[in-house]
Amino acid sequence: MKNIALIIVALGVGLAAASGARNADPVTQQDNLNGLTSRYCKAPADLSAARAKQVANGCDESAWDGVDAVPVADVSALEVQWVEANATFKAHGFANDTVPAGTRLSGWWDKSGILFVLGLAMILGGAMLFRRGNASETAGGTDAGPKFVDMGDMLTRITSELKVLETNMVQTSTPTTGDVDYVKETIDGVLNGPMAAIIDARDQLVQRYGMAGFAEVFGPFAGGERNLNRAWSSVVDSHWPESTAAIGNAVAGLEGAKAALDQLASARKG
Amino acid sequence: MATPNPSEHRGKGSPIKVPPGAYREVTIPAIVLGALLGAFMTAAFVYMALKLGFTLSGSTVAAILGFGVLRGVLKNGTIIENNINQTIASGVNNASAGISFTLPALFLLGLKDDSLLNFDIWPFILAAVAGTFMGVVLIIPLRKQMIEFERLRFPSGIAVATLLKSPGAGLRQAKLLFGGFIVAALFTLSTQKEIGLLDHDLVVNGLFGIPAYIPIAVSISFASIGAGLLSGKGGLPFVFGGILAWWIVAPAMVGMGWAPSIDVPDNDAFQASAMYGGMIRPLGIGMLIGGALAGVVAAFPALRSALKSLSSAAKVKGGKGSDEMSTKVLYVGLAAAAMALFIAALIATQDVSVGQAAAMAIIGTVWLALAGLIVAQATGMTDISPLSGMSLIAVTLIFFVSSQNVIASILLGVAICIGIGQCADMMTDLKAGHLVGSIPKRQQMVQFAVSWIGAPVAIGIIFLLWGQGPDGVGGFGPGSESGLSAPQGEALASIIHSLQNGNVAIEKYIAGASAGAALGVLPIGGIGVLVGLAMYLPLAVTLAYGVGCIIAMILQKTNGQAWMGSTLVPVAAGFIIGEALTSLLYILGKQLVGAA
Repeated sequence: MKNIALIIVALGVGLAAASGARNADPVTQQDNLNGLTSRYCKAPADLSAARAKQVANGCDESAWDGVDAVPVADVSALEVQWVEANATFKAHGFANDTVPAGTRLSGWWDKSGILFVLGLAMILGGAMLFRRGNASETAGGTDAGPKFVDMGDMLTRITSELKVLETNMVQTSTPTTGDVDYVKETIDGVLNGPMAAIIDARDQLVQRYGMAGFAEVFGPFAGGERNLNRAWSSVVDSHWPESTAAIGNAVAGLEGAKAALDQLASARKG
Repeated sequence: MATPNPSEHRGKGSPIKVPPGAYREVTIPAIVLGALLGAFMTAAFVYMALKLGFTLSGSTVAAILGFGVLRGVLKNGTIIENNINQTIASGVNNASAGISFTLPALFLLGLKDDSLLNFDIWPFILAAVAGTFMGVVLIIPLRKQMIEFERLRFPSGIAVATLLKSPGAGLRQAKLLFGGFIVAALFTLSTQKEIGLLDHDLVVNGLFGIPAYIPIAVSISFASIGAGLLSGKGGLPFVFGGILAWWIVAPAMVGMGWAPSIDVPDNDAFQASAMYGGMIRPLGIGMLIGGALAGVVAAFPALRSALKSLSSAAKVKGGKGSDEMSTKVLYVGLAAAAMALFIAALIATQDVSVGQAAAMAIIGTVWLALAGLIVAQATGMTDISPLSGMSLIAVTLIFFVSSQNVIASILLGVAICIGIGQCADMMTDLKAGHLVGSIPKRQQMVQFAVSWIGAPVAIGIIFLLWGQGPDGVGGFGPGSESGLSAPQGEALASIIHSLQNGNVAIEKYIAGASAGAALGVLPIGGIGVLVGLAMYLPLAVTLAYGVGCIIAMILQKTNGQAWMGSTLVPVAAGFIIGEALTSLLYILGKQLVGAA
């Protein structure tokens, strides 16, 4: 269902983009005139007779300054187009030769309004369908499913491992280079292993407990993660006491995340 | 590589020397070095922006120099201290883009209308500083939302963090980082105009006779590929948006006769250009806005939770609560900065009434918040910032609120452009900080204390360069003797000229915003912003990023997540750093050779 929903959204975006980008007629005429002006008024500079006529037709002489001339074989053919496009656009009588906002809006709406609304409806419909698919997956999903990440269990394992690390660090009075490697590699293992898995599975939390519930867990979790990073940096800088303290703070953060998760789970059951 | 059992290392090797005292983080050397590097980069990058039309982020340069000074010369620098140094340097340097994309437009418009040159420097400095502070305070709740909850990648932030962590990452990762750097540096060098060994634009349209409005082109950039490698599957909606716009919507519009068309040999190129500039790009800007607004609504529960946790953190003395900046700073800072904007608008020109100045300050603040969110989100997901599009909307809004007052519009444009850039920059630095374990509150405090320096430096350089022209005016701009054509300023000047004539693609903005908001119903974070960004950018840029995303997905499937972290991340970081640094050094070298 989610794949069908995404296809509907994609089609809706395409339709809304094409119809939303569509110009009102006077805007297209203005664009055409601008395109022709830049070609006609910058046509080859060696045609002095043509140049004189270009100026007489209203081309700004400064248009040639520092601009690469567009090679056009037949300036006169271009001139016919330019004169015609100029007359068509000028016939609207817009002040400053600019299409007013009201004309742009109403012209666009008349041409594309229905298609654009249809595109929007497809985006909204597809998105709602996608949400429904998500919701039914969450409702029907079991805690033993192949993609299920037991965050509570993982958080317990991580904090246990880090508590051992903290105890070992506290007990080490004369740290060695090997001890530094031990701390670094333990932190790397935790960050790239279970913590990365929890981060990858964060949508699971959003789907179960909503954004607010997710934030309650991920706030302290991220604090724990940052403190682990701090422990890594400070141990690399040989600052053993700072690293030990940061591990302690990381444990506190991760325990906070676990407590928040347990609270949400019991509230959901209740 | 890590051993299967890290405990085997315990007690082995020689004793380490534990540094005395507290762990070095916010230190005088880090602040001074960051401020100095930032100020120098601001001056250099303003010049570069006037010459070439773009600037670069200073984070990588500052991080590398930070290694040299803090670790090499002072011998006691730490990873996090260097993160503070690069946070400050890039925060200060952020003003170079904000100022050089906006303020020169006023000078250039002044060449045709003398009255526009009759303005004072101080309101601009005040507005620019206010914009800087706004950008920093807005990040306070967004940091939790984007970095901790949405887990946005911020590829440049990852690259900088990888660089910062390189002293402890081991020889293998250092080699990978260096390897990525060398590949990107060699490619970047070989595509420079003066060297011309390779072309960074791979366009195959001509080979198969495919019209220009169906671009089959990749703008090969190792920074874009690196960003895609770091984003992986999450970046696919962006690529999908670009493909949909250019390979389906554009040809369909031509087929149905909806695209402008003239009877010239290069009509397909004309149609491609007219559809991009006048149809798809404005629609993309609207979609960015709608997508961001919908994102705020969808993420409201998490944002509320972030604000709640920040408020409760502020009440806790010490402990982990003190890692977060208080929401009071957000509210007071926003109010103070809005007041500064109001004063700046009022004193900048006599034609603005008190009511108009108040409206400009309020609308400017609200827009900055939304645009800051958009730019930070886009940067977080793709490393590409739609800064110019958001600044264009800012100037348009203020232009109409101020009854078409050009000075006031550009004044607020300066503040908003700096503020938006500050949001993206600060967020990238906070991401790097998260990955190395910096305390966000300290990063934000130093940013507060120092980043405003960039505004007066950049504005001063603009005034100085302008005064170098004949009779003390015209020091930059198209055809100026200095060769500083100020392309971004010229572009904004021409947009303001269009606004003066009433030429605003309002229907495209409305349609795009509606579609972007509708996409927000889909429970995929930031999808409206990603699809909008894809329409806002040329497809060639999007595809380069897409190549990176697809390679990352394949590698993740074949090698697993752990391999991605230990191998792909340093290579991708090397790509981003290699291209940025080589481009910068090449440009500076060229300028020095030219000056000699």
